[in-house]
Amino acid sequence: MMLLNKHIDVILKLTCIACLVLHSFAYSASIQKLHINDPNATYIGSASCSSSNCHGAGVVKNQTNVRQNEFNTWFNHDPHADAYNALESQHGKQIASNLGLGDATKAQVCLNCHTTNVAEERQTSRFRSSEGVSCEGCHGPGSLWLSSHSNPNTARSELMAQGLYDTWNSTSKAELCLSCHLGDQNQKITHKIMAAGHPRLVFELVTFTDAQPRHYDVDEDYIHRKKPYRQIKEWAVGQAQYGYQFLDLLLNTDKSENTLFPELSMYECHTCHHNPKVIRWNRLDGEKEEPGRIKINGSSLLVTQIIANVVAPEYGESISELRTAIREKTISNEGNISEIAARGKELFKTVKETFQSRIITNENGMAILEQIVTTGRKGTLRELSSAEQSVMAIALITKDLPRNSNYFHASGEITNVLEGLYKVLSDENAFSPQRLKNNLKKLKVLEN
Amino acid sequence: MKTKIYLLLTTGISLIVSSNTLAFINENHTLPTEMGGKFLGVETCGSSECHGSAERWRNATVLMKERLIWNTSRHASAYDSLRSELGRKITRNLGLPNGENTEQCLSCHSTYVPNSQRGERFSLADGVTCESCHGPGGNFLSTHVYPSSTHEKNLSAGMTPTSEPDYRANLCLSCHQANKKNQFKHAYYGAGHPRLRFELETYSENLPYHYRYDSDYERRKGLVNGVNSWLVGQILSTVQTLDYLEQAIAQAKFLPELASFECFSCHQNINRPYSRKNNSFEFGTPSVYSGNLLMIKAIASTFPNNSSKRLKQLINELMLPVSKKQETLALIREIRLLVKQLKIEVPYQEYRLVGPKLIKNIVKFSNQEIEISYGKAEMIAMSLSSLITSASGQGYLESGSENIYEKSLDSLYKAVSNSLNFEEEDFKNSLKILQKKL
Repeated sequence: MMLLNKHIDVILKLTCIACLVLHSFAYSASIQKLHINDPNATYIGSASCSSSNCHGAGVVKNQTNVRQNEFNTWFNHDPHADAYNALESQHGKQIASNLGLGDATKAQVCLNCHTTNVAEERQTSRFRSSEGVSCEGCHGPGSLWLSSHSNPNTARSELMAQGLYDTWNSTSKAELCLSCHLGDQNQKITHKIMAAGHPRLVFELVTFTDAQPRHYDVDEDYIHRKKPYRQIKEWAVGQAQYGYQFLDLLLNTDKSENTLFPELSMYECHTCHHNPKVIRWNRLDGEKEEPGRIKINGSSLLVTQIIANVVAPEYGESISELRTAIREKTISNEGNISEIAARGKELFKTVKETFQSRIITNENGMAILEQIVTTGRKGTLRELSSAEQSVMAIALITKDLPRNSNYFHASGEITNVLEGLYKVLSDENAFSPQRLKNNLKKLKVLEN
Repeated sequence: MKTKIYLLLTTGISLIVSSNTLAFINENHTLPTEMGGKFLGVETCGSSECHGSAERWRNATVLMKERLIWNTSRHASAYDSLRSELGRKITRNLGLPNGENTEQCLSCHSTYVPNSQRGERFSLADGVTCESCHGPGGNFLSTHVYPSSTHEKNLSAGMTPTSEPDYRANLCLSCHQANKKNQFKHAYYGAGHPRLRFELETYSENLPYHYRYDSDYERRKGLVNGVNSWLVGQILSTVQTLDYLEQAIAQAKFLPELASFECFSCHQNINRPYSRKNNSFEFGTPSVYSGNLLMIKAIASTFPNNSSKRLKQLINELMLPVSKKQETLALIREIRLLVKQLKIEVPYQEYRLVGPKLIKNIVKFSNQEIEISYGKAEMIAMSLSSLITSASGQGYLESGSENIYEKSLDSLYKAVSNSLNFEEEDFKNSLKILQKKL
């Protein structure tokens, strides 16, 4: 666990720390999904949650079924607490100035994700926007359930009916996180924002939850409540949900006849952002790919396909066809992107529900791992996003599987292998599929 | 492969001495490979008795060792590059068997003419040869050796007028720039093909000289004027770039063909810090390649007419990132029209006077650029170098100023020496220093 955290550090520090610092979940998801329409809902601020008898304890207490030091974890360790500060940083100011937005702390497009962005009339006196993405950014407006939730006899279902956001459900949790860590129709995180200097967005539900860090224990009680909880499953659902929301964003991106370029934030950053002197593309045997073309950021579609191949094989082929249709669109402009995306959304919704309904066994985990590793060894994990998602997947799957499993052997310590893999990702501009391939060779799967 | 053409470097202007304008520029010259007649091959032209002679003949008007000089040029290895490791990689990536059997490769890496036009000693493997530029030898081989032959007679027999900048520009551009004749695609770049870049005068000068510019040359072909060559090159290059860009945008489906866009608009370090005061700037939208357009601004200011102001304003608009199809097409069409008008209104007599003026204007407009991409920087460096060298060679720079210019050119070239590590700030500073000196 410690070591995994160390690798997460690598990913956070070297590839997307700024993304975490600047990004957080909140607004439209929280506002819309967190009962904003309830006229009685007000946001009471973290000060209302953090008394020492509640969630503001200095250390973990064992008196209730929560740690009670959640506030401290969030305040001292969670980048969400710095989300607003990022707007006031030199970098944040520069981005806002580039976009002609003036003060970032006044711009809705920034505030939506860098704070719990709620209208003034819904803020109580203890609420502060400057707290960044705070308790209520994810859990919903406290006024609705503050008193009832402190009563141990209140059922969680009752609290949720009152307006506590369902972060226990992987889908709704992923939806909430992705509303900022990917963007959604209400808050599009456009290429224009990126070009003005915003860090690249990277997200994977389990890894980022770990990196947050968690302010709860995955203990027996938790596992039981999650009926049952398993990281691989949360990851699988998170990937399918990512794919679903990605496809939703893809709708209408080529709508206008007069538009010369599609919305570019949907595409793989480094297919364009590399030095042209470095030839980074090589056709693989029998491959139909075309050089010099822009590629969609298809990491979630690829990973979901791999998971489906194992967990829901009846959908593997359909996802493959969807990926081909999207590729054809970018090569030869065949098909209508909105139709493709709409079809894909339906498919991903079903796939996600199927993942949720199935039990993912250790054998499934091993089979998924094997497919990811095989894909990487073929050299087809060419794009950074797919490589990142694959490495995060390998890390969390190997962690989730029993260590004495017959199915898993690594030449050398698995920790060293993971370290090597994260190192491949440490400089996004120097990412090499070949290096990834070489590092993956150190990982042996299903060797018995 | 640097330049395609032109063996008789020069900027002969004999044909226009009598004319006040550049109205002679013809955009539709017949290129050598489009001509009828037999292509006889390097062996024919370059026998030791003729252009492959080690020594100059007593009465010869040309060097006679042209073949030996050509051998050292990159044109001579154009075909070999198809068989190089990189060449193999490119064709493999494009899903082609090999370059030697692919028309799109051969058309620029060899003297690619139909079988029926290939003489006995002709070989594609010779690369870009004498006849790639001078025309099929079958049409003039026998007559051009007569004692009574003259340059004019050779031209009318079918030798191409490579000493004319407009002819040379069209010829070189047909390979060195993506345009309608050379439908170079971004896919080729993606497969690994080196980036195309071109400035007529720089590339003409960098071909190893296989002629000598002397009084005899001047008598036969007229005055050499690098300023003229640069001007013609810029104008034709711009017109052809705009043609191709128009086609790319008009036919754009999912994306336009990207070969006419500024490479470094997209291919830039993703972590590059970005600051810009101009809020109207469309962040995150690609820009078209505008090295030539910047030069046109300098040309328009040097030769002002009624529409110069409008032209500069339109160019400024096109140099911003482009996102709207119809608006961009309208801009392209109007700019092209004005550029064509511009070229017919440049009085010839002024060329010798305008070198320094052009230099000043290029520096001025370059300094006004908020951002200088690598592609644009290259064009600025090549252009200033061409104009300064040619002005200096003809003695119409202020005496003693050559050293100053030379230092500036050195630092500009140093900044663009490596696209992997382009020092934009150094480049801008060098330009500022140069502006002060002017």
